[in-house]
Amino acid sequence: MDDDRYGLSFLRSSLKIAGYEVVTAIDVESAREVLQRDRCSSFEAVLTDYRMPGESGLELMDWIRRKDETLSMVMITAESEKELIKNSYAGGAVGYLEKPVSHSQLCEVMATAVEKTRRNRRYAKTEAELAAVGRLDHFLNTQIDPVIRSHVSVFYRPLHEVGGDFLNVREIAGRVSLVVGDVSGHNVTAGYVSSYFQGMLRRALEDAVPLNQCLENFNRILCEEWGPEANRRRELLTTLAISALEIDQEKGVMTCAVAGAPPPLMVDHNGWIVAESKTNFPLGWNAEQGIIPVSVPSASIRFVLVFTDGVIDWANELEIDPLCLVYTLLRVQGSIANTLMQPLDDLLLVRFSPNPDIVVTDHFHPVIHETYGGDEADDIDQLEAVWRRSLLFALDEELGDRLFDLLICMREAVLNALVHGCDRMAGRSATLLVAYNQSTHTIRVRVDDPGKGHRFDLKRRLEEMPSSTGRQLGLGMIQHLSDQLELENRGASIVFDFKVVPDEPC
Amino acid sequence: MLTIELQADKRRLRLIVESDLKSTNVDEVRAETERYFEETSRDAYKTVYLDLRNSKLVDSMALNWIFMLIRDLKSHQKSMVIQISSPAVRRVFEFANIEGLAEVKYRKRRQV
Repeated sequence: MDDDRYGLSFLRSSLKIAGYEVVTAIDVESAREVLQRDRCSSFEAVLTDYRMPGESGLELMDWIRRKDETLSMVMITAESEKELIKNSYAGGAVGYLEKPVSHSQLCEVMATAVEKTRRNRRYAKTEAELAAVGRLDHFLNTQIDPVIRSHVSVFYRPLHEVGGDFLNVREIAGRVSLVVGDVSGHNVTAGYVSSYFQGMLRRALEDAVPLNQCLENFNRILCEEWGPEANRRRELLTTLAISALEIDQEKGVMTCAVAGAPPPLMVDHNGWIVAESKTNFPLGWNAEQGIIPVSVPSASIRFVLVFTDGVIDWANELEIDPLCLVYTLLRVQGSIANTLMQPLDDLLLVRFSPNPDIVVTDHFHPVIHETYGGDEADDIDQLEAVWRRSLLFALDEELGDRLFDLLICMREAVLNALVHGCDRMAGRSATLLVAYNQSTHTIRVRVDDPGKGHRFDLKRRLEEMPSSTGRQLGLGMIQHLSDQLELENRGASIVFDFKVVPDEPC
Repeated sequence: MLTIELQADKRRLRLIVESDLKSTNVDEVRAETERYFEETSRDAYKTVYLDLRNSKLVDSMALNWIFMLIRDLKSHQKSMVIQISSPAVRRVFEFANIEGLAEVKYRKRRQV
């Protein structure tokens, strides 16, 4: 575009000689008309003079940029004004020419502009296609059979548009299968692998193939077919971490199969974790690897928690227990993930209730589950710091002024277990479990150690204890500070409850 | 961990604990206190103030030391005042009946 008819004629001829198809305009208004009539996408570059009667070349560039970001523009100016050139680039120009313009300069700048437009359009197309793949990938990665949707709560936050962790929950002929997977890598390739696996899994389950066999089959495919191909192309091996669960409602049995992923946690009415499978290598590492399923009766299980390692990594980053992160993410859903620091990996966690009528908030939900070696007694301050952060993270507003009562009791119980139950030995371990019941505002703590407990009735002795000093002082404190204390296994297991009064909302 | 101040004009000895008092630091606090008692004449003070206002948490080992301290001071005809600000520490003291053995001054501070 140029208002100088001689100049315009030179530019047109020059570009035609260079092989371009050229459309000209003598002012901004007629240029707009041409671009609207023939559509911006039919042009590959715009060459415009800066100084025009009425609106300037910059105003045309601004208009074009809003219509089509991919179209490259070149500004012609008579003056060597740095400010003007700066404004041209800010306005979206990919190059500029100073008058008088030579044929060779013109051809060089326009060739660059056309190439840039073509590249921009290729990127835009690829981006649009990837976005569509991403939407499909997200859909495929969160497959929940509508029949059992009411059993399932999910928190899913993939790190990238494509190739994230995936979830597949189906009911086929009375068998519910819940599979949580994590393919190595966060890219389109990972998306292909998870889709392939899920398709294969679906067909196998429809053919009543046991879940562990499905995993073993895919392990063989990865190791024997895909692995050699990746080696040949000098690419990284594809591996798949899986945490899977199968529920046979008729037989009342739950079966877990795990490969390289955190195992599913089965939770009873007290919030205790009653069964936890052992994990194997991820699929794709070892062709000989068998997946040994672990079955437990499902009657006492209120819900199962399944999550990928991104949840554990993020909890480690926050220096809190992973279960308090699980509890919080499932409870508040998206809001917390948006306000806290960015996770390092995909986050996927699932809570599955075998009985859809169960109201999860009516039951205890685990928020801390840790196992400590007896030799960790000297690290009690660090352990306590993690409990403190975890409890504040998950239950801050629920705790009222009971946080420090709770911490004192947990400290006393765990120290007692590590020092007396485990004799401070590294090979012996104690377990701490903390669960919260949102409906009754009760925190329940359980500490188990491998000791023999006491020969005498410890609880009775505590009740009769005349002095507050000396032996069992810690237990006496727990009894005094907590709202209920129970001792099991002759004192080797201690369970105590705290009723908390939540803070009034501000 | 522990600051010891002698207020000679008031004949007070102040033991100011800077943090929680528990199994992992009570030995150090005890040793420092005993060293001071050995090095300083007990005639310089009549009352010992144990300032636990910075402690949100006192555990059973710490409680045992507080008992020992009270007993030791009583045997030297010294009185003791314990200053606390944490509801959790107050509940531990109630359980241990510390108020029957020493004067406990409780002023609640916001727990952070």
